[in-house]
Amino acid sequence: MSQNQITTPTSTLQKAHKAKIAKQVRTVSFQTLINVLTILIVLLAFIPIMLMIFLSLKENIQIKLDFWAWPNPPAWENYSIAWQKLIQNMVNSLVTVAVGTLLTVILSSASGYVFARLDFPLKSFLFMAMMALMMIPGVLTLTPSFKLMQRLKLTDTWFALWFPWASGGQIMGMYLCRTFISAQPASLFEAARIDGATEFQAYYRIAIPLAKPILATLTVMNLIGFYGDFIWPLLVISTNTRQVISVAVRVFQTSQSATNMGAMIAGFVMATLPLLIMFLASSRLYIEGITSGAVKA
Amino acid sequence: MENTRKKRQPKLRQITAYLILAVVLTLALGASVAAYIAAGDRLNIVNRLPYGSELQNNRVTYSRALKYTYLGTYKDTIVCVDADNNEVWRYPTRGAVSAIVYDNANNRIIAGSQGKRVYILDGATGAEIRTIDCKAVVNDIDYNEESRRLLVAEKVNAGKGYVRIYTDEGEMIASTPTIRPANSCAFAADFQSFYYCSKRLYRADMQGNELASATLSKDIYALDVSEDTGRVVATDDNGWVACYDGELNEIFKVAMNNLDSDGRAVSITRDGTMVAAGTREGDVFVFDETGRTMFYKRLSSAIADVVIDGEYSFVVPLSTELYSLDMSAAAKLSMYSSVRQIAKTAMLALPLLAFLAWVLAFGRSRGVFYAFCKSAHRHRTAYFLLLPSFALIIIFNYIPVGQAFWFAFTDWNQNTTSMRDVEFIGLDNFSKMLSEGYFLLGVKNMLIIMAFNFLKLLVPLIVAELVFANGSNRARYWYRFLLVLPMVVPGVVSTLMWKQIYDPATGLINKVLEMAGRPDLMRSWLGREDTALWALIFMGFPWVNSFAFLVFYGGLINIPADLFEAARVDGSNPFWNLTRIHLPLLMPQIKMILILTFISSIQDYGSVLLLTDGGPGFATYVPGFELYMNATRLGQYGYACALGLVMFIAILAGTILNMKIKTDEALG
Repeated sequence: MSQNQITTPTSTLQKAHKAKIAKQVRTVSFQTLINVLTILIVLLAFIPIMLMIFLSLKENIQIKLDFWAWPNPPAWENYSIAWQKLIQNMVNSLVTVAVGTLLTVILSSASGYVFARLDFPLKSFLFMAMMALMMIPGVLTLTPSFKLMQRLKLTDTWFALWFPWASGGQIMGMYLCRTFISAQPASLFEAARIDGATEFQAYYRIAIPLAKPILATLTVMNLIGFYGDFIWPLLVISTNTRQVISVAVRVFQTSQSATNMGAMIAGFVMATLPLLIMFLASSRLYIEGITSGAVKA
Repeated sequence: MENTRKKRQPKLRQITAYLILAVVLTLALGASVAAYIAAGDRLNIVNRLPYGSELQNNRVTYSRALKYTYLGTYKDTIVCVDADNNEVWRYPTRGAVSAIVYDNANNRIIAGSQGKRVYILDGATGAEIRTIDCKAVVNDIDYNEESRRLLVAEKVNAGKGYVRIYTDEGEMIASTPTIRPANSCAFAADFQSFYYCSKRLYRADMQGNELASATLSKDIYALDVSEDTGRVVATDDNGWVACYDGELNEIFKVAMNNLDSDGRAVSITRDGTMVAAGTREGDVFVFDETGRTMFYKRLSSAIADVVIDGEYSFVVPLSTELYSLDMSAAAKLSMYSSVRQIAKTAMLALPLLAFLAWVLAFGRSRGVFYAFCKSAHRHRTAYFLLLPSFALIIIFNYIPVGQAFWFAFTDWNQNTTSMRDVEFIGLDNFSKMLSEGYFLLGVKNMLIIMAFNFLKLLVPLIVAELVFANGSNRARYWYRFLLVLPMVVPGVVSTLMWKQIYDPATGLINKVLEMAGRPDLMRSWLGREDTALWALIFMGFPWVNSFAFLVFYGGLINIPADLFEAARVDGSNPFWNLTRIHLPLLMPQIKMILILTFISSIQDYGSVLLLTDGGPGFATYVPGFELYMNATRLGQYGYACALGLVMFIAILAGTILNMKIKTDEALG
């Protein structure tokens, strides 16, 4: 074979050229196929969101009688109805979620730093005591936690959200922070110690600023998680003016679904907006946090 | 020898001092435990009386002179019982007895019945003196001994009633119409006016002209007047209790429970120093004159009536039972509860102090203790930084976990008044799961959902491969961004959006079918037993799970590039790449996503709660939903804990299995 190829250089070159073109064509068609498939899946995934925006601009009668018609003119008053009904709960959600996330991040970074950098008696025992809770599913403690809130007289206050959120959220957070801070160069902390910094100063002057990327990932994860929490607020918060948006949207849905569907769906869009804005600002951090390979079994 | 002795002398004295301190502290601890138990015993002032009327009690009154107690029952009877608990007489009435008062001046019983009648009976013999026929159902009566006037609240229908004044001869002398029937009525202490309550609490003069009114949070169900001070107390349908002066100026207002409870009965002592109230949920409360709760207990059935007047103080539940309230003990309640509070604090603090004193009393343990203190001091930053985290997880994680494990074996439910009453019932909760059938039905549905959840994971895996295989950096970035973006829609919103998509009248699916000319396929997707479960499974189509996608994609981009290079040199093709490089190297990610899906499939019931409530029938019932129902609406907390425990064990078993496979691979 090889003898033959060497003796006819022109034909080989031609053949190689042809093969290259064929390969290019194959690659192009392969790439096109991939693009078409991906775009198709993206479009399908966006159906509910498109539908949501589409319907939120239609009046009730338009939805019922002429479902497919373009919203003309757009029923912006749907949004003003949703705004009036939901703004209080939206503010509640923003406040509760912000405080809950802040607490979680502070606690996670503190315990993550301690377990990553410091040596002290009972360290591994305390670490295992925290990690063991990762095995406990929420359903196991749902009933006792709810009754505990009642006995502590925390029901219908935001403390009933903050304490369990922070308490549960810090465990994963501690683990992520510990992994991240362990990877920080030890020489930095040595130098600080030689310069006379206390352990506490080393924590908030060196470890925290360096751990910003993981803290940002943690913040986004917790914001999304707490904002979407539905069952726990439904259980512990009973006054509507104190309720968070996820439950309020459900209440709003029940009250509006028959009479004013457009406003109901405008409420859905409104409830989505804060997370959308937050995500647009931080999607890069979040995506990199998860794809960096830190998350795996 | 001399020297060492001298050195030891002060040390010995110190040790003796610590020993004495240790003994004293231990004794104090014992004393506070004893005080705690003793005070606890005196804290109960509700005692069951041995009356066996075997009828459903509704109202109670008493005669001081005769030492008789009179029970008006729901079973159309008035029963008289003497001080030795023997029945003296019994008188049948027309209709359930709705009110009963005692006329001390003439030793007569005056009772009103729902059979539109007022009875006046001889207190000693039960002989009928007179009956007065009213024009409507008697809701409540009051009687003034000096003027021999009778106040009657009458109900015509739900929207109409009267408050009328009769002489004890049965002659009506005043009649005031009320928009809604009055639930309760009473003469003022000075007999210049009277009170009645329906939506509001009203004060009217003897001709029925309204003088004043007051509102609580909802309809007012019962009221009472203190004879000496003229104070008025009332309770409403939200469980509020309020105390007013004679002109209805509020003195205090308290809620009986932070949850909804319906106030049903209220009473104030003659001197106005104590107020008792009862709710439909069976709660009995005693308040002092400032509205501070002095006593609380939950009985097993709804409270129908409460009367407090010295030794004649009763709680009448809507059952065959009758309880007395020990009001002499109630006066000392606050003392006992503060003793108990102090003893409780002492019981928390003393063990630590006593332990410390014992440790310091002996040389060797003292050395250990000093070393411990030194080490704790050296590492104080670490412990200080961990303190808030551990305080939280102990209170909000470890305590609930411990309780879940314990209560899973108990009959804890909504009727349990105090945690001391919770009874250990062994494995009954678990056998109930197997015998009741709902749980097994739920497990079946859950397994179907879980199987499909595993299948659906193919989508993020394929999408990750598709994006990874794309040649353009820019395209990869945008696809990745767009595929993660739907994550920002909160779970509740996307679930409710799917509810819209499945809606029979205006849902997207049915509209598409209609447009496609197949209206025969249109149906109420979530409302039919044969489609509801499949609708839940189909929800979220095309099932691009953002988190799983990112994890898979992250796994792919972290595969070292030289591996592909080597494979290319070896003449590999894309299929070969996929099966020999991608999948094996993605195993850790795949495994993690599998286990997370397993865990969430067992636990999840959010969409069931939002979309179907487990129905239609039991078509979408899952164990998590059963747990939620038992923990909330059904109030079977022990059973809910047992369900949680079973689900925890299933999750644990799955996780351990998963870890075992991993270690086996690592070993092999």
